[in-house]
Amino acid sequence: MENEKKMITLKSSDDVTFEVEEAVVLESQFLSHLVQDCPAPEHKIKEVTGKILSKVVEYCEKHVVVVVDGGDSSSSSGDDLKKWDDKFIKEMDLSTVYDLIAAANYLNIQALLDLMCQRVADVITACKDHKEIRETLGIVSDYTAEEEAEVLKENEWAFD
Amino acid sequence: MILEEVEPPPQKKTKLLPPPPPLSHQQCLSFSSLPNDITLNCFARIPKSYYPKISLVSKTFRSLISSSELYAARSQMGTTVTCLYICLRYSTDHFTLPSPRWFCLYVKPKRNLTDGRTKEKSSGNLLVPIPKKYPLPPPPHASSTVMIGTKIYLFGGPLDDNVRDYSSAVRVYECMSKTWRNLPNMNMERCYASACVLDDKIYVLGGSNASFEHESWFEMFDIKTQTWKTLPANPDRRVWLGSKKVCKNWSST
Repeated sequence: MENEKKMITLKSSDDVTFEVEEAVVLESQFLSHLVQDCPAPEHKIKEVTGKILSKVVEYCEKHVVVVVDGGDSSSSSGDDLKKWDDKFIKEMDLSTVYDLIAAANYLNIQALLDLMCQRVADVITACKDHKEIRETLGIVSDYTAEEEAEVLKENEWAFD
Repeated sequence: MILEEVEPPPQKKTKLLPPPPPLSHQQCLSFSSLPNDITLNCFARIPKSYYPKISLVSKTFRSLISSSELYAARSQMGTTVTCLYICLRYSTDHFTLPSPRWFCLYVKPKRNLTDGRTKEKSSGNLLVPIPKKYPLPPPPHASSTVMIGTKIYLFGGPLDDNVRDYSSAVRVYECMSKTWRNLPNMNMERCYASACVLDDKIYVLGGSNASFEHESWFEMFDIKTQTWKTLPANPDRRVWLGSKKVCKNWSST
């Protein structure tokens, strides 16, 4: 287990560098292809800022650690990971969530993308009505008053 | 989704992680700027009872909620739910003939869910009427009704004009967009025909005045190409009105 781990440096759009183990990088399908095709020690990721990349790295490091140590640490690693994920998303504001969704989508990290989408889903379900959803997600309605009344009528059974 | 308060898990100190960088390159995305497949990924995680609320947010949301892509996303995620559709035939006053009304059995959403949990909380079931738009919904006839994915197909008569029993009309109900629409007519007019589905093709037979030797007695509808094809009838098989078993036996032999 203690053999030398290959380290890779990731550089964000604003030139913040992160030195991570190769296993961490492999969590991202995009980066694993990049590392395979171009075995340079440093990779610049122009599309992701340092703030977001630090979150991505934090997530991937946590998830890779649990997978590697899962066998010998404890049997509750799955639960721990779930708790860690919950805490990870709870502390995040929505604009960071969007940025992280975009980054996870670009870097092709499905588990992170799913986690962030779940966060957005939770936020939507917590809203009491469509106006609150608009407010929370910053959506400008493109309905005319008549159209909105019509859709409301169609769905009035749900709003009794 | 576990959302209870939790103690921070013992966290391994990450090596060589630099301190948080200055926020010089903020991306500042908004929800609207995310691609549709991401929005669908989010919506597919939400119980269906919230969809009326989401439909009211904007036209874009509404069209995503009624899209087949959302159904595909839910299928992929394993969050599809089985819906029960019911057709009742009744008249609303003494002067009109009874007409069919379609309903979907729905779990009524609980309002003012403030704790942010995604668990579906029901305050009962509701029969939600399907919006009445043209073409008018046909009355169901069990033998010639076929369900595939999110669509309900009905073949031939009786139609709801209370005049014609025999008809070559084909109607399909799209559960996502909540609309009935017409499909290409069959070659033969039928009433209480038998229909079954096999490999993306719907086989319709019988229910006709003509003898089973008639060239269009047995027809096949290709869902992909949306076209009808006449098939040779099997003279050894006799299909009774409303019979589905015969059709199935025939398909498997």
